Amino acid sequence: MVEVESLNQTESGRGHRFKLSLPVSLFKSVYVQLAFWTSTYFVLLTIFSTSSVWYHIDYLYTGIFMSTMMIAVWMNAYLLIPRMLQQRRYLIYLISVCITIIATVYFNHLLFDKLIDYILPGYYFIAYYSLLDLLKFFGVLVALATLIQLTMEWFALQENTQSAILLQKEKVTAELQALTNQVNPHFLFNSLSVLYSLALRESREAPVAIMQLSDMLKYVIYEASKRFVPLGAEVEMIRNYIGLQRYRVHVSTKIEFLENDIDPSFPVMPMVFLPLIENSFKHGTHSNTNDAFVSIRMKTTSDDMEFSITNNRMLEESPSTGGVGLRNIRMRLDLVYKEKYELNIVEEETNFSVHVKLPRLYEEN
Amino acid sequence: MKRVLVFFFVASLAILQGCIVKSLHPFYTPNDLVFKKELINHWTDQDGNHWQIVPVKESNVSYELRHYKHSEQPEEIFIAHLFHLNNQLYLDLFPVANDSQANDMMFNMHLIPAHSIARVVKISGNEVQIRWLNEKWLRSLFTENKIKISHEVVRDVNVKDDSDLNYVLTASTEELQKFIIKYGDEDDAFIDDNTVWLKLNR
Repeated sequence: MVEVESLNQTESGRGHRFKLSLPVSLFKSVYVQLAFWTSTYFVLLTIFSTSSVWYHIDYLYTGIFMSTMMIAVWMNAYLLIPRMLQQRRYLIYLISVCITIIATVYFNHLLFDKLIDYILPGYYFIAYYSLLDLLKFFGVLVALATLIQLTMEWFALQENTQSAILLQKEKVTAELQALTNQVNPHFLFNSLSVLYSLALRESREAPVAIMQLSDMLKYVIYEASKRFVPLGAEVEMIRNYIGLQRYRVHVSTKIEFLENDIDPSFPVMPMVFLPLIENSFKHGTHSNTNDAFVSIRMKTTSDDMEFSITNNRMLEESPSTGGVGLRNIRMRLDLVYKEKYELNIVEEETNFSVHVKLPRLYEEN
Repeated sequence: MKRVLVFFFVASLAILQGCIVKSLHPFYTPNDLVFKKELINHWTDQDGNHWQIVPVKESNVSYELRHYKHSEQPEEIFIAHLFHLNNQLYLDLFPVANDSQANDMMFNMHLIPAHSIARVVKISGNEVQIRWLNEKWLRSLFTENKIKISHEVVRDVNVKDDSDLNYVLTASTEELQKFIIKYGDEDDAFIDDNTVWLKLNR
């Protein structure tokens, strides 16, 4: 007989935390920059044009004007936002961005009022806009660029978060499957042992037992890989298992399975109770006493379900709360139900009980 | 007392139209205006044209310039304003219709009057000297795409070449003043060739 406690222990990372990398600022990409500044250039050109026709001088002026705006926008994008806004230093950011805008506005005014005559001698420019008008121009563009940058980074963050969630879900599924897979061989070997005994005795009950095992295997193959199954299917699986075990245990062993008060559609993680039942049959029915028993009870409410199993235990038996099988169940419950479940183990002098309470969860959880 | 008025205008209105810089907006704001009584008088320009300058009744800062040629009635009338820009005195002229022109409604409805600007070089007891803003200089800057100031190019029906194009400034008064303040001292902006002398009639 294969022991339940000999299940391999999987040290898969419980409570694994995803470290989200900072969203890459898409605003920095060349294409976005190019699109943004090209659009800005033509909007400004339309505004700055001195007549119904765009002249060479208008292109030149707009380019020079926009270059001063670039200083403000780039300082905001590459210095102020990453170092202040994204660090949640909002007040400092606000003050800094105001100072940046005011400084670049003054520079723009000074450029067209004085400096331009030295930079482009022979050309005649004036500071066409008042400081207040320039503040509006620069303020609007910096605000627009900030909004675009934050929006794009928000989308990038959302994308990363979605990827992380998906990755986490896949990881949980893989861990869960690995843990479930640990359960399957044990009940199979235990069941085959029963069939072996029946075959040796040439028992007429062997075909029935084979059918029960067949149903169990069918369940394992088609249902056990799901995240949730209806409680009714799980109950059917347990019935088959108990049916097989009855061939193995002494006739005096009392086996009780009360499951009348359940909602068969209640969603439950597959194969979650089987290791506990296997454990009970192993420890409870091995004793040579006449009062060996295994008692299983199930009930559901609209919000949760309760499962309890009790078996007699031999006095010399060591406590089994730290067994690998129980640890396997805890890990699986942690992955699916997180902190919303209850698992209580009570070891008394002659009895061993496990009580499980599971909330009603749905696939999206 | 015989006084000579030296008033400088480009010899005749026809010549004047071709050589002055025209603007839709005035070159002054009400805050810039000054009024000098010594302009109120009869003047003769270097081409022998007679000018009378009188104050506008409804205003204490405006002048009316009346240009006489051969008749008792003025052939052209302008509203003039003296104003300061950066401690320099300028004159803004704006044409108004005389009595005979005022009756020609259909003709008047097709006209858009324009402002012109001249720098006042000298105002003394019997002499006034002004220089028009150099239209050729401004035209060349527009042609060479060297200047950025709001304007429109107006093409006559029978235009022959670019020299027949009319440049009309459409810039705001604020922009016009910024330009005059910044570039008014350029060598080519107000040149001697565009000087009009007015001498006081004695």
